[in-house]
Amino acid sequence: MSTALLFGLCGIVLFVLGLYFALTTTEMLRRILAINIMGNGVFMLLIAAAYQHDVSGLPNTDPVPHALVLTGIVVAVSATALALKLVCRAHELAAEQREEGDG
Amino acid sequence: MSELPGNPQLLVWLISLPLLGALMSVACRKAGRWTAMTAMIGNLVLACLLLAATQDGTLRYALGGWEAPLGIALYADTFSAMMIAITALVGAVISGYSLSYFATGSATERSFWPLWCLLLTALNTLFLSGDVFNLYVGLEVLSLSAVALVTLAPGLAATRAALRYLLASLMGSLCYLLGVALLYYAHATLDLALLADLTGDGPLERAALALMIVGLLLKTALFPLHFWLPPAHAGAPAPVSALLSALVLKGTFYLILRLWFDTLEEAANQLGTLLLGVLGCAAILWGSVQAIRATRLKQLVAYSTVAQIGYLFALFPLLGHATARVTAFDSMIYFIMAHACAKGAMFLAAGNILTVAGHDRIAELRAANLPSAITLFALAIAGISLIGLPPTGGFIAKWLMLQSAFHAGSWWLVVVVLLGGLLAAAYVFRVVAICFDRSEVSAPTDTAPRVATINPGREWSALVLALAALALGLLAAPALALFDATALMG
Amino acid sequence: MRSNEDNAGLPPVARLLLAIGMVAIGLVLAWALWSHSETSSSLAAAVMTELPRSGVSNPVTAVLLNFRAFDTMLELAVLLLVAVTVGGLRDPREVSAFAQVKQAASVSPLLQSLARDLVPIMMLTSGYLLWIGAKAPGGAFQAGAVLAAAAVLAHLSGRPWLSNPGDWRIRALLVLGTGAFLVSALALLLVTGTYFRYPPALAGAWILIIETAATLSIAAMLYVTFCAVVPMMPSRR
Repeated sequence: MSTALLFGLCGIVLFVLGLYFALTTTEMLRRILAINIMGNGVFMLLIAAAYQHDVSGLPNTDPVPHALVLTGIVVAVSATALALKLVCRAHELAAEQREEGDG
Repeated sequence: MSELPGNPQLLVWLISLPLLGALMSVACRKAGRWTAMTAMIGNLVLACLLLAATQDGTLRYALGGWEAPLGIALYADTFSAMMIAITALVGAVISGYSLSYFATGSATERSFWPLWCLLLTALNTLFLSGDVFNLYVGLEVLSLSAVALVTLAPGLAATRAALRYLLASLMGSLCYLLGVALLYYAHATLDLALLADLTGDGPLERAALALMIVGLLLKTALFPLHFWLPPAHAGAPAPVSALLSALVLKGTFYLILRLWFDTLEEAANQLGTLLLGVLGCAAILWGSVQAIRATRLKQLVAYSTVAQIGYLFALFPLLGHATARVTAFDSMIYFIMAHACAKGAMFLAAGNILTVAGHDRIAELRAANLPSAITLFALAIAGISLIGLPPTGGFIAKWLMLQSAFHAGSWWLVVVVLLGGLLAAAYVFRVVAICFDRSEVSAPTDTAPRVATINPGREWSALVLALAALALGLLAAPALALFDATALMG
Repeated sequence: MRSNEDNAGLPPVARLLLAIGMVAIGLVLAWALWSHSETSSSLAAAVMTELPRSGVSNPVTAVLLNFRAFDTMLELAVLLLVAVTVGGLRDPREVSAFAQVKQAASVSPLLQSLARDLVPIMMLTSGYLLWIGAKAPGGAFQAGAVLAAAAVLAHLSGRPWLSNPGDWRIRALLVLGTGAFLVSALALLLVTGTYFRYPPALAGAWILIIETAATLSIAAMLYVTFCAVVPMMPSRR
């Protein structure tokens, strides 16, 4: 088994684990984390795709997937920030609503 | 590139102009609405030029002069030009509506214009980009700006709906991206045209296609992956609901179509096509029944979108059919256009009703104040198009679909389409009857609460979209002549 | 933070079925990957061939800023979108948990001296990362992230760099990154006749300018996003 394949398979395992937890958990924060793990699995597969073309031992890694992963990370960070902000906002609004209900 | 007819520079302007509008409306907030409107109108002009240019052949533009597979290429044929044109038209009208919907200078208004410009940038990117990873970034701009637009509505329900929409959308994007990663792993290319040549029907291509399609189905809200749609579309401000229902879903649908019937055609099999068709039929029935059961107007319109998305997928088995496919493709583009106009009009009209009546509980609308006949007329025409009665665009779409289904001998589709029409009639007339039956409204007295008035611009925008749906029905032949159904089906 | 809508969670049977389904999906994907383990195609050769014309010698930077600059522009647009949205969602009345952390921290002399020593070093590091990106791993994103971290550290130690998120200078910084890409792409369209085609002789300098703008903008966007959860008032005591 080549190194690339091993890393690719690990990426798939991470993706599936993340997917399972994203679907089963009821806590929003955990779900966001799980989705990030899914993303990391994909990035790992992309990195593996860069590595697999290592012809005859020469360090001939493909820079394109590296660039894709960098782009993907920034997008993932942005999306996570938005999701976290929405969770906070929902939490605050729910608290406000409870207060109004009590008062 | 010079041998290609038309000016391929149009392609980069179609993406740059809305993006420039977004940046300008962030930078100079006070003039945000006018810079954005300028971008919208410019976009409409460019879209018309593109539609004209693609009549002579496809356009291709290698960004930075780097040819694929190294660089990213933009690509436009009559199908993408059609999508861009309908997006530009419906988008411009909704922009006009938004001018008088959001209070000038409010924080909501200041956020709306940049987000809407970015949404348009993303849609144009999806229609033009010929690179699977670039499409991923475009998808993310699309979903994040759509989610951000939903958060413009205040309140807990809308925030939760936005969160649910965001998480569903992110999972969809990641499924898509995993498919992209698999394709890159095997073929080391991201260009759609090159992938179409390289890919066969091996297990990897099938897995990649399945992942990409499932991810996009989640974003397109095909039954049973539609769970996020009704709260998000019903909870958003009216112009945002219109944008999401009329345009955003079509962006991801377009991509599904491209992947399934063009790029990864060899990996797509009959069984999958049939499955998508069956899910489409289920969506028609389920969405319509839920729309009939809805208690609020915007909820009803949102469930109607679930049903209408179903028609697009119900066409898949016909698109896979050897001889029925050209008619089916005409029907598909007509469904897209007619639904964009009709659903846009319906959400705008629903927004007017919500503002004037103060609520959108259907059962209580009979006794509520309603906007003028312009809005109600728009609602009625849009409803007729959704049912699929002549002389509207919805009728042409269904007529073509039935023709294609007869041709392919798919009697079960004929039954579903007719049943879907009946169910649509049930939910449309339920609303229209209430709105036009004003017998219970007592004459306004001095003690009656002050009637909220709305800007006539809001009423006319709804009517313009509804009339566009009508015009599509009357001008079917010239509209269908504008695109070449055989282009996609290589 | 639980969502109140579906507190109950899934019943164990559904979880089990879901787990089995996930294992099945994982196995199918693994098999798909396995079936394609040996291919020799790669874009590495194409990148290396064009690298001399790209203006930089780090292939990853060449891909990000030149070959696939369009991706990077859209990605900055994503960041801008989130910064604008999250900033707009900030409730002026909100006093979140961060406030207490910050107020407790702002009196800590340890954090203050740490920030005093680290922030300049981080700014320097950021500049270095930006510069080295042309030749070695580094570049606008790494530099921007480090710069944003410096801003966050300064903020937490009671010296916020930002007092009002609606300030025009902040907005200018937010659009600077995407704007630099877009304006240069359009300018290049006029100069070279092709969107995003840098003249090879000037490509290096051009990319460095864009990257500098992107670094500042990324730092500003990340910092604004961070500040959206933290109250704005400076509490120097």
